Amino acid sequence: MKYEVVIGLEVHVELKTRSKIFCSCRNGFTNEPNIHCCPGCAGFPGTLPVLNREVMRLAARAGMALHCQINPVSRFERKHYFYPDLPESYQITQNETPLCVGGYVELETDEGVHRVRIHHIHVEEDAGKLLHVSDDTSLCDFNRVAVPLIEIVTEPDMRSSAHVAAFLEHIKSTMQYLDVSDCKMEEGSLRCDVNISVRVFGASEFGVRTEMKNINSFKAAVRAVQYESKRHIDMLENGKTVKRETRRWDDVKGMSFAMRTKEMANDYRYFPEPNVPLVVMSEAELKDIRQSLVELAPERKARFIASYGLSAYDAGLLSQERPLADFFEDTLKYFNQPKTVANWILSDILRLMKERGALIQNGCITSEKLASLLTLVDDGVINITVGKSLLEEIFGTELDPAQLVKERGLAQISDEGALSQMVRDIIAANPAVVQDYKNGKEKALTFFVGQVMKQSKGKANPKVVNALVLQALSEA
Amino acid sequence: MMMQKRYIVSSDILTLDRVSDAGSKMLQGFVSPFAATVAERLDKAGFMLLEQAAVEEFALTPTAHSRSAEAAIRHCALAVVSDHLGQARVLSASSSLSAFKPSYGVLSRLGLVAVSASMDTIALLAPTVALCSEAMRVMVGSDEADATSVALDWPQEDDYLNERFNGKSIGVIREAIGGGESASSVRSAMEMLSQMGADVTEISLADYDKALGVAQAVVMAEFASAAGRYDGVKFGYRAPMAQTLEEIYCDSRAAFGLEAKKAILMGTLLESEKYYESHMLPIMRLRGKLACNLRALLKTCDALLTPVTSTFAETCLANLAGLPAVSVNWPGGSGLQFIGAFLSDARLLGMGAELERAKMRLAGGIL
Repeated sequence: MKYEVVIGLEVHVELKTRSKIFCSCRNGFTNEPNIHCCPGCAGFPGTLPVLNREVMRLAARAGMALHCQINPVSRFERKHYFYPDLPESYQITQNETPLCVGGYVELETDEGVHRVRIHHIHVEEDAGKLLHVSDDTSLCDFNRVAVPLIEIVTEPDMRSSAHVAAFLEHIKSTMQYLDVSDCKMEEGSLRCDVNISVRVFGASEFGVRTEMKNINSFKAAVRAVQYESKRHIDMLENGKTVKRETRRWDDVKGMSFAMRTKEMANDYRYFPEPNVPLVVMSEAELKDIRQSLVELAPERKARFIASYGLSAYDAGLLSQERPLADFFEDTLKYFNQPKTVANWILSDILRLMKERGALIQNGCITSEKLASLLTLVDDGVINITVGKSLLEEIFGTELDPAQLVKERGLAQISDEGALSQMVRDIIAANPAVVQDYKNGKEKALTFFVGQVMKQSKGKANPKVVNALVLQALSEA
Repeated sequence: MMMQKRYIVSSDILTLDRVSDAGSKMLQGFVSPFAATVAERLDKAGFMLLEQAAVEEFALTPTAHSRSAEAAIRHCALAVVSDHLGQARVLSASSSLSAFKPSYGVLSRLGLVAVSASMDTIALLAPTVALCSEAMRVMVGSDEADATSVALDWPQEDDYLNERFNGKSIGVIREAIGGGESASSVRSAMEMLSQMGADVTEISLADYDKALGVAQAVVMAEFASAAGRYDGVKFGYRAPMAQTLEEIYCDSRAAFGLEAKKAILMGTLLESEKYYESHMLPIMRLRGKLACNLRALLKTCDALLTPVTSTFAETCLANLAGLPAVSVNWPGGSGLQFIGAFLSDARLLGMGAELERAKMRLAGGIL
């Protein structure tokens, strides 16, 4: 029997507003517990929520980028349950009137374009974190309480773990591009629950689905989907029925486990939040947000190919993350040779970033400095070898390449007069190799060039040396 | 007349450096890190806080603010209290005090221990309406910490207190007149108002008989939600022997008093999946209808008149519709209440002041 895997996702994205959604506490990742709290988000009596408008603007921007319709009027509701990481014992969320409805994402797969529809996107507040320090002690950290979230709920349109990975990558890239979220799963600013079922190919009804939680990386999502779909299929093939339940993914063990549902009451007793007035987004406000939408990764990639003549592969790598794409185009402002800049970024800068754990957005190298370095090489002031070694040196520092060249006298010798003397000396000293060359051994040329480079301590301009050697050999 | 600027606050309104436990074991020993906006504004205007009076647990009963009332009489000062069904006004029926509940949103709710978010207001109890209005002047003004607060410009001069009934139209809610002592109080007042030149008519409020039930249901549902935070985890009472999470929740919350427990149980039931559509939604719609009808009636007259008995039957109307109401003690053992249009707070206080003056004249045998 051939089975089809059916997957839907609920993706939580933390919005990078400066303050939390309902109070003015700082919204930012930290390792110190309970420092971004106030009586409001800690659930103290006598406190009231005040909506941070920027949350709605970012959420609307995200919704527009995912082709959703934005509801100009939406409402917050209370969702009630008891758990120590929820200080008020209710979460303020949207239930009946989410901010965004409809929408889709188009994934590029090996089989072509696959569309994943979005059911809705709603705005809500996050809960805190619990740290279980021993069997009988847990600690509460309220830093994350009331951090603004959007929850992106898809239709069950994905059919493989590859789709899931591509979807998550797309969301991450889009949210970063829009400056809506950092989407770092390791910091919890992107979280994902997986809803998965299987059915026989061609069946019209969906199979029984299970919901998977505790997925903490894109790779874990892929592994979880692969494991769980196999678990469902194995059960069905053995005549068993899949139980509709929530399961916890254990990435270390590579297995899912049924969760005890005791702490989750299913009746959330939703009712409208009386302290937060109806959220109305005006035509003008929505228009403003629409105009602030930036060109997203796929469009940027296409433009890199068309305008700069880059290959699809290179354009893809450069456009995938916004800080790198911005860095590339900023460098072009000072040094307008796209292919050269692209090469240096893709071969050397990416490698240095990985080796040294540095990020472009943290300023490990500025576009002006890179442009300056490339100009020095292009003008023939230094040769490419020196250029590359300077890059290693200035990366992650305040050092200036032009300054260094000046201070250390790194400028290469291009003066033909000086070099031709060196060439004549080397040729005169190696008559046997000259003979080899005359006998057809082309490689002898590189020997002479190498010797001149060595003699000049690497400062000779290799192009000029090459030409001089060729000429000298032809005259010899 | 020089008013001494002193006030009492009930213990469900947060102050600094004092225990604000809202009368509940769940908040035992709780000292707030911030003070209520209204208290801050009073302090800034030179009002002196005399004491924080005990309150019955979460002010759920008609006698909840008895201690505040006693203190107000003793000190001849203003009491600032909570009000979600008429807790301030019912006390004017049984004491010599006047009471005022402003329009919803006119006084910031920041620092008011929430019971029923859409019904809660800060209200005032004082020997005179004039003292209430002096406090209102310094307390009004929108508060950016309360998204439901509204801006209201208070009159610069005090002459709004010199209201006269001549030429005013007063609508008396027929269904509220009732029987016995309160009926005779109202009828005598109606007679007097007519003699003073007011156009007094009996009007009908549809569904009046359901209003108290609707109001209590709304309060219970919202309180069940508001009281969720009292869980023994963060502050207040935690059952000393509790070990597991379930024990911390259940054993601690067993310390709620009977009225609070009834309200939480009923409120939870009303909001539950089983009863929300069949019970709570119709109740919410009926609330909307009552509020609409009240506001419509207030387009045809300057104020509505009802008695105030010892229950919330008459006072809950103003909370249901977010309207201002003023009440004054009246011979016969009940109180008299004027309900005004939304944001007509100053003018309504003027009518309350005139009612006080009429009472004094009656007592002195003059009209």
